[in-house]
Amino acid sequence: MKRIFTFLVFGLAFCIAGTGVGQQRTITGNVVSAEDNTPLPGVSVLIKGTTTGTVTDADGNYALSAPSTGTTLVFSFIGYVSLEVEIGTRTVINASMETDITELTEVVVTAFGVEQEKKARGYAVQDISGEEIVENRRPNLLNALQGKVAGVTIQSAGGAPGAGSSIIIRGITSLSPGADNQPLFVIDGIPVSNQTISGSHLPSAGTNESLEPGGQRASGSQFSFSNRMADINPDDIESISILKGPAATALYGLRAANGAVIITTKKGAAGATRINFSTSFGWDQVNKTPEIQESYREGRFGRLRFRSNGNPLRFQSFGPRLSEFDPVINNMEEFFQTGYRFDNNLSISGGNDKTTFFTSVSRLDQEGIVPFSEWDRTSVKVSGSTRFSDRFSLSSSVNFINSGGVRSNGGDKSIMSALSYYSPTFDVNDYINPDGTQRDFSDGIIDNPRYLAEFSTLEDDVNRIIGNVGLDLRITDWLKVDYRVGADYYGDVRRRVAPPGLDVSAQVNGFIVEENVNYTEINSNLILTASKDLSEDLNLSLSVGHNLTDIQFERVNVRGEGFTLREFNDLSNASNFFTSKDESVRRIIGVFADFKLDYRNMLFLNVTGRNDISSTLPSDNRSFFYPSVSLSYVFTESFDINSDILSFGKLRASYAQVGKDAAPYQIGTYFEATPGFPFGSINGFRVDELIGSNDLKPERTSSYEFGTDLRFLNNRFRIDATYFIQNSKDQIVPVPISNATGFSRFITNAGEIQNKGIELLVSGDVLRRGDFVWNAALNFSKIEGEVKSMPEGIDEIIFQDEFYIQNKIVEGGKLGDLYGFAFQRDDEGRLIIEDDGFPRVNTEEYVLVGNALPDWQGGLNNTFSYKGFSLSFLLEVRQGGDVFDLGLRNGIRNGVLKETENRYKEVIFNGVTTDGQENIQAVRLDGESVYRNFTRYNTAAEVVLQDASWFRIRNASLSYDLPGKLLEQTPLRSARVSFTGNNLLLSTPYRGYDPEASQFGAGSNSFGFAGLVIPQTRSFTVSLNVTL
Amino acid sequence: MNKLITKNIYTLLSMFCFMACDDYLGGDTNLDPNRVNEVSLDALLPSVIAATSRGQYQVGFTISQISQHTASYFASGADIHEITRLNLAWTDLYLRSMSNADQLKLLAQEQESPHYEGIANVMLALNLGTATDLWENVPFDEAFQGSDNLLPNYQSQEEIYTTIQSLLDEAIVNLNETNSLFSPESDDLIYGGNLDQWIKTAYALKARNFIHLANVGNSFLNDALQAAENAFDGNEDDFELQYTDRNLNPWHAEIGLAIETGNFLIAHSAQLVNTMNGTNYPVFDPRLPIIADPGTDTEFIGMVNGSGGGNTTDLTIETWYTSSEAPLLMVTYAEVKFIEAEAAFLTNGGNSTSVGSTQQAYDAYLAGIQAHMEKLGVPEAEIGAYLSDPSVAVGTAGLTLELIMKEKWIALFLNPEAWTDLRRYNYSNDVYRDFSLPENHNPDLSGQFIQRASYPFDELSRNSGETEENTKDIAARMWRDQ
Repeated sequence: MKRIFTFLVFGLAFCIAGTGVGQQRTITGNVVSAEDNTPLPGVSVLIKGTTTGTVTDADGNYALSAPSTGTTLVFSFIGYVSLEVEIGTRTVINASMETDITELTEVVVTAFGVEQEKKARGYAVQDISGEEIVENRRPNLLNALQGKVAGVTIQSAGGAPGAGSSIIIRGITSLSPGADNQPLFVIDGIPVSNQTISGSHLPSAGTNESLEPGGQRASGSQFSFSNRMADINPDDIESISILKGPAATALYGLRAANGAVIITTKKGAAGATRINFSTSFGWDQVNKTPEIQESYREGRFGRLRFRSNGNPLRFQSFGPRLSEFDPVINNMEEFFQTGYRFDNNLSISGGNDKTTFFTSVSRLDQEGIVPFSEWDRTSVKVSGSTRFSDRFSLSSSVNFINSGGVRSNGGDKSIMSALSYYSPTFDVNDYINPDGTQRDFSDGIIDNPRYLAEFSTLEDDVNRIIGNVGLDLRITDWLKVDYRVGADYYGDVRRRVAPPGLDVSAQVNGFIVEENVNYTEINSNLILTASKDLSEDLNLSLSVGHNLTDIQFERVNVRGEGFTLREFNDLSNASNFFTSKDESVRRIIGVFADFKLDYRNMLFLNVTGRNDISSTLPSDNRSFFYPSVSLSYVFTESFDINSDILSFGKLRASYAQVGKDAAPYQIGTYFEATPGFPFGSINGFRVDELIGSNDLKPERTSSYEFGTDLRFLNNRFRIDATYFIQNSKDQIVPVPISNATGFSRFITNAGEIQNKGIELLVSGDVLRRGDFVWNAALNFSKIEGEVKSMPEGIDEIIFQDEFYIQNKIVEGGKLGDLYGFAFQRDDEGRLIIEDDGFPRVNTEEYVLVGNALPDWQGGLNNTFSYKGFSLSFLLEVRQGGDVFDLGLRNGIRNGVLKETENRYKEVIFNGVTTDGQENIQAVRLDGESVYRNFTRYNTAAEVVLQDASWFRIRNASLSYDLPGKLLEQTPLRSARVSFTGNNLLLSTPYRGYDPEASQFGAGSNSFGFAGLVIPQTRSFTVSLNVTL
Repeated sequence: MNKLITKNIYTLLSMFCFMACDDYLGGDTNLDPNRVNEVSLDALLPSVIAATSRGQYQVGFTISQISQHTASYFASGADIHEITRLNLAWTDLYLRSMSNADQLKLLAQEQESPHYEGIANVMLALNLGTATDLWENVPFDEAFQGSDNLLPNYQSQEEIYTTIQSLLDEAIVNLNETNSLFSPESDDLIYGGNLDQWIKTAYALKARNFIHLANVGNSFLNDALQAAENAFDGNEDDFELQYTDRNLNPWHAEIGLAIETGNFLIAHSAQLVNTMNGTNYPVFDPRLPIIADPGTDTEFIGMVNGSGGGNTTDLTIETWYTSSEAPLLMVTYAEVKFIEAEAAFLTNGGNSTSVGSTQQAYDAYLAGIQAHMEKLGVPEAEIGAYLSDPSVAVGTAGLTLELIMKEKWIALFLNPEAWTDLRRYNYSNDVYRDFSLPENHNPDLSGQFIQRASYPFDELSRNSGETEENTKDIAARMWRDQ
C-alpha cells in the first residue's frame, strides 16, 4: 500500500501527459541526490519504451541522443525512487532523485524488537501493512491476512461472530493430532497467546459428538471458539511480519518452531497530536447454502406417516409429491438472517522529541447471521515511550480487552444438524408455542434450529490484559542493552445452557455448564547487542540474550444436570453436579546468541545458537541446543547489471534447526478421577490411559531454505521465490497402542514428517498512465507433507474419525489423507452391480479416498488507483482439498437435498454384474433402496466426500481519499470513505455451505471436515476514516 | 487474586536465573496437579465395577441383535451378521475394566488385602470370559504391562478358560481369608462389602465357564453342577449394578431415553416376541408386556432381524430393562438355575432331541423361570398360571433341552451370554425353535450363522502381528463350541 501510494504521488508530480513529438536531438543534464544535492554517478538514464540509454559519469553528468519518438526520460538508481521526466522541447534536463524509503531503509523487526534490514535477511519473510489489514474490515485479525501470504493457510471455523481462525505456516509438522501447529504470535517483542480453548460443554449422556484425540468428548465442534488473537484490535496494528521457517525464528525459541507472526503496533510520533477516528458499518449474509429438493413433502415410502394413535409421524422428507397448496421453504436459507457489524475506533497519538504516546479506544458490535448470536470487543490501549537521555529510553504499553458474546451451536444435535434434517414443508421460523415450549414438525425427533438458536447457547466473556515494559540502554555507541518484560493475562467465563426437552438435553433433563479459564503468560527478554564496523567493508554484530517464559493455565468446569424449573438457567437449578479441573504450568528458559556479519552491504551472514531448558521434559533431556545459519548475497551489488532491467537481485540460503518440548505432564503414568464419578456418592479413580516415556527428548525440526528476491525495471516488478524442505523428527507423539497393554497411548519420540514446498510472490505496477496505476500482487504456494516414518509397530495414526471418513496418516502417506468406504469396483474400475441391480459399498475396508489439504493455493490482489480513488480486489484460488460434509448424509438420508430429487426414477447403474457382464437391470431409486441405504449408497466416499477446490473473490474494496484542496478548508488532515465486500463470489464444485470452515475449531489439526458449523458469510461494509 | 500476585512475584524473581534454576524448572514443576501417582483400593474398585457394567452393556447392545433378542432399525451390522468388531467393547473390557482390575489386584497384594484381591480376580474372570466369548483367542498373560510390552501375545481359548478358572479359584481363596488389611464397604457398588456374595459370584462364573465347555468334554458338566451348587441362592444374590439418578443405567440412557428424542436404534426381535406372545409356543408369556412396550398398539409385534422395521414394540423408559430404576444384570440366580438344569439334563444322557430328565433338571428349570419372573415383578398369580401351563409344566418326563434353553434365553434378555449358548448348539432349531437367519443376511456367509466377532480396527493397526495370526473366518466355530 505504501508503495502504491508512493508511486501515486510521483506519478502525480512528474507524469504530466504530453503528446509533443520532436526531432532527433541530444539531451544533456546533471543528476543529483535530492537529499544533499551531491552528484549521483552511475544513474541509468533511459528513453522510456526504448533500449536507448546511458549512465551518468562521476560528476553526475550525462548526454544522450534521443529519437523523435521518445517523449519521456526515466532516471533510475538503486536505492532511489525512479523518476520519469517528460522531455517536451527541452534539451537540458536535470534531475534530483529522492531516496527510496521503501527500499533502503526497509527494515523488519525480527527477534524481540531487533530491527534488521530486509535485504540482509537470509530467509523468507512476508510483510503486511496495517492498512492492508484494516482495508477489509474483518473483525478477526487472522482473516484479514487470508489469501495474502504465500505458504500460509488461514481457515476460519465458520461464519459465527467471534469464530476462531487457524493459521498454519508451511503445513502440518506434527504426527500428533492434538499438537499445536500454529505459529507464535509476538506483539511488540513479547509473545502473546493465540490459543483456542474448546473446553467441554457436553452433557454426560445424550451426545454423539466425536471423540477428540485422547478419547475425550470436547466441544470444539459445538461452538466455534475464538482464537485469542481475535481480541486484538486490527486498527492498532502498524505492520505484521510473518516469519515462515525455523531460520527466521531460532531466536524466539521452541515456541516459534512453526513460524512466528510478528506484530508491531502503532506508535506516537513527535509533532502535532493526531486524532484518528474510523467508523464502519457492515452487514453479513449467509454465503452459500446447499440446494434442496422442492418436489416432495415429509413422510416415508412416498406417503405421509402416522403413529398408531393417529398423530402424524414426521421426520423424513420421502413423502408424497407436493401439491400446489403445499408450501416449500428453503430452510437452509430462510433460517439465516442478515447480521451486522458496527465498529468504531478512536486513536490519539503524538509526542515531542523526548516522549511519544499512542492511545486508542475501540468497540466492535456484531450480530450474526444466526438469530441471537452476537460478539463484541472493546479494546483500550495506551502506549508510550520516553527518552531520558541519549543513552536511556523506556517504553511501555497496556492493552485491555473485553470480548465475548453469545455463540450459536454447531456439531452434533445442534442448530446445524437439525437444519440438515429439516423438512422443506415446514417453516423453520415457526418455532415456539404460546407457552414458550418448542414447536417442531417432527414431534421431538429433531429440534427446531431457531428454537435452539434462542435457548441452547453458550455465552463467553473474556477480560484480557496485555502489557509490557521495555528499557533500552545504549552503553557505548557500539553496545546496547535491551530488556523487555511482558504479561498476557485473560480470564474467560463461559456459560453453556441447554434447557430440558431438547435432543441434546433430554437424557439428562437439561444441563448447564459453567467454565472458568485463566491464562497467564509472562515473558522476559534480555538482549545485549554489540555492533562494530571493523572496516568500511565489514560490519559485525553480536547479540546474546536470555529469555524466560512462564505459562500458567487453569480451567474449572462445573456441569449441573437435571433441571427442577424449566427456565431458570442457573447452577442452583440443577440436581446433579459434575466438576473437573485442569491446571498446568510450563516454563522455559532460553539463552541465545546471534552473530551477524555484513560484507560491503552485499554479503550477509547470520549465525544463531540457542539453548532452551523446558520444564516439561525429563530432567536429563531438559536442556537442548539448536543452531541456524543463513547467508544472503545481493549479487546486483557485485556485478554491473543494468538496473533498468534487473534493479536488485538477491540469493539467500539458510539451514536451521529447532527443538520442541512436550506439553506439560506427559511423562510417566497417573491415576485420574473417573469421568462420570462420583457414582451416587462414591468417588472413583482409574488408571489414565496415557503412559509417557521417561526418556522423552525434544523433537527436532531441521529446515533448508533457498530463495531469491529479484526486482526489475527500476524496482517496478518484484519476484520473490522460496523453496524449502523441512524435516520434523523424533516427534513427541501419543502413539496409539493396543488397549490390552492397559493403556491406549504411549507418549514417546517417534516418526518423521517432511514438508517441502515453494512459495512465490510476484508483484508490480502493471500499468502506469498518468494518475492511473494498476498494481498487482500474486502469491502462490504449493506444499506437500509426507510421513517419512511412523513409530515402530504402528500402522496408522488417526487424526479424526468421523466413521464414514477418517483423517489418518500412514507411513509414506501424506498429511491430510482421508480414508473412507468405496463402491465395489472391478479391476477396470467399473462398478460391480449385485444381483438386486444396485452397487455395493465396501464398508469393511477403509481406503484412501482423498486429501484434505490443497494441492496449491494462490491469491491475486489488484489495486487500481486514480487520483483519490482506489479499487482493489483479491482473488483467491485453492486447488484441491477434499471435505467431508458432516451434514450431507443427514440431508440425503432424510430426503432434503436436491440430489434426492431423482427418486422414483428407473435407472440402470452403469457397471458390471458379479459375473462380469454389463449390467442391464433397471431398478427404482427411492428413499429405502438408495438414499437411506447404508450398504448401497450413503456411506460411499464417492457420495459423501467432495472436492472443495474453490475460486473466490475474497474481498473487494473501493475507497476515496478526499483531495488535499478540499481538506485545507477543514481541520482534517485526511479523510477516506470506503466500501468493501468480502466473499463476493464463490465458485466451487462443492455442494454444501461454503467449504471454508473447520468443523473442529481453530485449535484443531483436523482438516477436511465441515458442514455442521455456522456457515461463512458474504459481507459488505461502509467505512469512514478521518484524521485530525 | 493474592495467589496470582504471589505466583507472579515468584516468577519475576526467577526471571534472571540462568542455568542453575532446578527448582524453577524441575522438582514438582512437571507433576500434574490434576492427577495422582497413587490411589487407594476403595478408589479403584468402584471404577472397575462401573466400567465392567458398561462393558456388559456395550457388548449386549450389539450381541443381542445376533442372539435375536433385539433387531436393528438400521438392518445392518451384527443384525445381518456382517463383520462385527465391537471396537468400543474391546476398550471397555481391556482398557477400562481389566486394566484397572489388574491394578486393583497388584495394589491389593501390595497392601495385603486379599479381599480386594479376590474381587479383582472375579472382575478379571468376568471380563476375560466376555472377551473370549467374542473373539476366541485374546491376550491376558502378557497384557497390562504398559510400555514394557506393547505387543501382547494372544492366547488360545483353551488357555484362557484355564486362566479364568484359576482366577476364580484364587478369588475364592482370597475372599475366604480372614485377614485383610483393607476390606470393601460402600465402595463395593454391587454387594456393599458382602464377601459371601462375591464368593457365590465366583462360583456362578465358574459354573458359567464350565458349561461353556460342554462340547469339549462331559466332565465339565459335573464341574458346572458342583459350582452351581455353591453359587447364588436367590435373586438377592444377583450380580448386578444398580444405577442412580445421577449415573444412569446405559440401557435406560442410551436406548430408553434416546427413543424419546427419536434416536431409534434397536427394538425387540420378532424371534423374541414370537417366542413369548403365543406364536411359537402356545402360551402368552406374562413377562412380555413388562419388557416390551407396544405403545398404543395392542398387538405385540417384533422386528424381523434384517428388516429394519415392521414392529410395534420398543424398548422404552416404561420397559423393565430400559427403565430408570432397572439394575444392569450381569450374572443372575436364574442363569445359575438354568445352568444346573442344562447340566443335569445332559449328564443324565439327554441330548437336543431327547425327552425327559431328572427331577433336579426339572426343578432347576422351574426355579429359573420363577426367579426371572419374580425379578421382573410378574404378579404371583400370573407366575403360577405360567408355571402350570401345560406347555411349560411338562413334568420331569416331558422336559426337553429346547424348553430349558428357551427359558434361559428369555431370562438372559440383552445379556451377551445368550449368544454363547446359541453357538454351543450351533443355532440348532432342535434347541431354538424357529430361530432363523435374518433377512438380508450377509451374503459372504452363504447361509451360515455368524460365530465370532472380528478383532477391532484399533487392535488391527496396533497389534497387527497377533491379530493377523489369530483372525479366523466369522463363520468358523470357536474351539469350545466344536
